[in-house]
Amino acid sequence: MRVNRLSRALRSAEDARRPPLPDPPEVGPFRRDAWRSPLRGPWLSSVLSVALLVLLGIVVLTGFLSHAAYDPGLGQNATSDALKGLYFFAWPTDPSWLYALTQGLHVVCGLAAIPVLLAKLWAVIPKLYERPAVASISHGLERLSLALLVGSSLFLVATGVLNIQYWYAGLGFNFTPVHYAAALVFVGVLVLHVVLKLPIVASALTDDGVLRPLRAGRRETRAPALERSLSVATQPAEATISRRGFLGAVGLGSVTLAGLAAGQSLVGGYLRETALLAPRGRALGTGPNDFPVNQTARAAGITPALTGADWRLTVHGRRRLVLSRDELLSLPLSTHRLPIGCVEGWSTLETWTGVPLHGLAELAGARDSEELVVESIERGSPYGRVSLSRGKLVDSRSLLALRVNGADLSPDHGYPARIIVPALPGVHNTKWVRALTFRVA
Amino acid sequence: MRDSFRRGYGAEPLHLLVALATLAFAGFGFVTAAARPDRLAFLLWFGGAVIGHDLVLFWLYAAVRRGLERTGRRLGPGGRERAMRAINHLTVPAFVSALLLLVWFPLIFGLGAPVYERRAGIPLDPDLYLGRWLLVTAALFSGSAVVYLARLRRA
Repeated sequence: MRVNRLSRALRSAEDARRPPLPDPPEVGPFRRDAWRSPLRGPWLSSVLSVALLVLLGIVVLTGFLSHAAYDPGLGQNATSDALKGLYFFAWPTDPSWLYALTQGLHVVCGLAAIPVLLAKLWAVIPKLYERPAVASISHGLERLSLALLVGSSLFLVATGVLNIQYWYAGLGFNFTPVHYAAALVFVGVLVLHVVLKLPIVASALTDDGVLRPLRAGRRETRAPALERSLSVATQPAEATISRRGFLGAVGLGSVTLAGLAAGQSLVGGYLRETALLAPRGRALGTGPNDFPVNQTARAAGITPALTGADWRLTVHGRRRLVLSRDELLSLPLSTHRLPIGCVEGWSTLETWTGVPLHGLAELAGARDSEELVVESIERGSPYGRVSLSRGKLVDSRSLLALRVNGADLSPDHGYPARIIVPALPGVHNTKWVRALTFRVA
Repeated sequence: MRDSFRRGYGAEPLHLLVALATLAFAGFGFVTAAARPDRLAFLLWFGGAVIGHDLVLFWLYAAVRRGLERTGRRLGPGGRERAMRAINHLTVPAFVSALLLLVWFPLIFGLGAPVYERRAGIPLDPDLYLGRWLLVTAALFSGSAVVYLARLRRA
């Protein structure tokens, strides 16, 4: 009962005053009979909407978790200052595959959502040309929010897809903060859209049944009653494909897109071979350093002179220590098998050997440190200086890694030393570490 | 007073409340992006996303479908039925293949090669992903052909 009252309260009134804007002429796509497919109707739109909401819901949630994983409230970690205060909790270190999971889901569900999004836009496009164009102020606000919804969703998908393939030509803006800002736009208008359309979706699925329309083959496919939605064709043509076929094609698209990319996200395992259409789905060899790299030493400006015998690690705490690589190797070392995941959605599982961070904190007399600031030899990168919360530096698995899979780290993987912390985003596992500062009160 | 509000605004006050709250949040996001120095590129891409899809991409696939239907019509009533079924076994794999191309074209044509090689440390062989996409396309059409033959046999 309350739902009906609520839905009535949110529906546009029929007795609104005359349209505030002049109408476009009734030609071409503005003629309602120009739209001929009998498939369009509230049931099809509703089914696509539910699927889209589930997929994009996961994408939005994992997207915000991805931002949280960077501990944006700490030091210079934030890639965007918007809503920094919301991230009041420190990113955990358990389970170690947490970030690999959230980012993998973000990319895989995002890819799976693409054909569903395109199908949904196809299903409702007659409404783009509806007349009157703006029947009332409330109608105008709804159409504005829809323009932002379509714009932001396509923008987010397009920028995300381009980012994971490293094609930035013509983008012209810094991907990370702009992608995040657009996500805020998307969430705002999505909430409005869901609130307004939920009663319609509920009634369409109740009236038509969730699966009943799928029983009709191509020859039995009919357009629904005219008054049920503005997207319904007034003069429907014969169906060229059934709803079953249409949704099957969309589903096939989703499964193919996601399935051929998911393999790059699985931490280890032979299923990596299935990632045919994924930027990191490539066989790299079987050596200890043969796993994916994000940012080569050369690209980071790391020369052998900087990482050679003269390299020293400076540790600040209550004491200042300067250690050479041999001195680090003579300290008690730990070995842990930990995944490392990139924001682009790929991840890998390797065995790391190094000095535990809490051990270095102890040596520097900073066992009670609340924050560790890691500095890299790399200059000019937003990740050359990273802050780690206390939970990360006290975890027994957090290491200053010196070796991987039994061999010395390669230059591309951070030689002479890199950070490896469970569940930490890849870019925060700093490579070519120069200095560690354990902040003490 | 409620009635005159409804006539003027077009819906109940609750509608306006929800609309303003959510649009304000969206506006905050928009302003966050627009406050940056790279705002022009952002606006162009944002607007371009809507125009690119609604006014270009959509009409492209509508035209393709209309072309297929016209071919179907020319075949007459009996041929039409057979043609309809056959056409869908072509358009579905074609749609999935085109979708893969649309999403991965920078990878398939090696457009991101300079950045890729700097970041991944391995060369991006220009034909690697093109070959894989063609392989997947072939698999899609083959699978569709198998299903088509199975359906013919059942009929």
